[in-house]
Amino acid sequence: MTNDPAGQSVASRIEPIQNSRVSLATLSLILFKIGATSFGGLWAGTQKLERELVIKRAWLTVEDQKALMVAATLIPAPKFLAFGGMVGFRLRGWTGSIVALFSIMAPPALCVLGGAIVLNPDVLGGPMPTLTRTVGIGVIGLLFGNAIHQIRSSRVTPRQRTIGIGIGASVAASAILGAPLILSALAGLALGIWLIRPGEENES
Amino acid sequence: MTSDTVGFLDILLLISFSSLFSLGGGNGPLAIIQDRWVNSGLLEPSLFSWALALGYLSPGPKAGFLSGIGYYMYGLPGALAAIIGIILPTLVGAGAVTYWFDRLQPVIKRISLPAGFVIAGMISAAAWNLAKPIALTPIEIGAILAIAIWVGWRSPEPAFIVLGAAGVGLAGWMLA
Repeated sequence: MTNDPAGQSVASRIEPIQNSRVSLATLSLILFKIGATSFGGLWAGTQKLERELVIKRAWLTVEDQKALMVAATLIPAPKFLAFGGMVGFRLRGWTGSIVALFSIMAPPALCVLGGAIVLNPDVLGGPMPTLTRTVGIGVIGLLFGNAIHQIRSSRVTPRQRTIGIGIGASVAASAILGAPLILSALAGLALGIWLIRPGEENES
Repeated sequence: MTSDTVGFLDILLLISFSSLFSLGGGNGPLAIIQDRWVNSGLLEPSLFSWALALGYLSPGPKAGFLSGIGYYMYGLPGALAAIIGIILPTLVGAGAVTYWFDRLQPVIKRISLPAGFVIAGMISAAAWNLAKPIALTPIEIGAILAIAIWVGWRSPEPAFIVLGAAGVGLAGWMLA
């Protein structure tokens, strides 16, 4: 998140623009760009989404983005795709959602399709295992980095932050130990809603 | 192409059905496809793995690998069927959840404060599950820590990290 000299979040002062002002072509272009330049799934792309949708375009507030990311886990679909569909729906209804979904899905689908048509496993059989391993390591680092960024960007008091980190660690631990991710997340949210209440936020 | 018995509608329906098992971030389509098409011999395991690898190296939603699966099953119409198959249930779900989202703003406001921490936990779990089967070396663990700290504090462009990692992998293979 970008901060001004006074330390106040720029994104927090941006009001969402009127939905009718967002053309389908612009929506398509931005979602295509996000789809073409984001690696590692929804979580790894959080900062890019924040830059494009919150700071540059003001289509969402930071709170909207976080809420949509959580809501995306409630949809039985890939989370990144679900997030794009919800952004499109918020801006232009059903048509916007269709446009957003096809636009965000087009880059990976075309890349994979191109690879499937042009290449075969024998052509790149040599470097492929090494490549997938090093790219995997990069993506894992990205994911952990985005987890740190999520915690650092939360506008809460130190006490709330400590509680929040405990909740986040509990969600991660329970999911790693085999509990369904959705149940762990919902339990963490319920606990967070109970323990982290609005009104105590650190605005500075 | 490995299958003569699977058509456009079969692909669309199976992919749509499989997305129901993606709730909460589970990789439902992968498991369902493996169970229904790979285990039954309709799709060669090497092609299945290849489509997954391509999806992993591609930007955007990881569901992009479905276009490769669809292509191997039924050519270009199969790829289109797979994409429509994953988009249809997503469209319905996204519309429904967003509709209620608008009406539940007060609740959403309460959720948004702890949401960042819950998301951080979910991201960490996803990263852990990705790392678990790799059997990382100490150097690789150090690299992950360095990238995590860099991303957490300096917010670099993720594409550069992925391309850099691919470059390191390619260089390592050429030197080996």
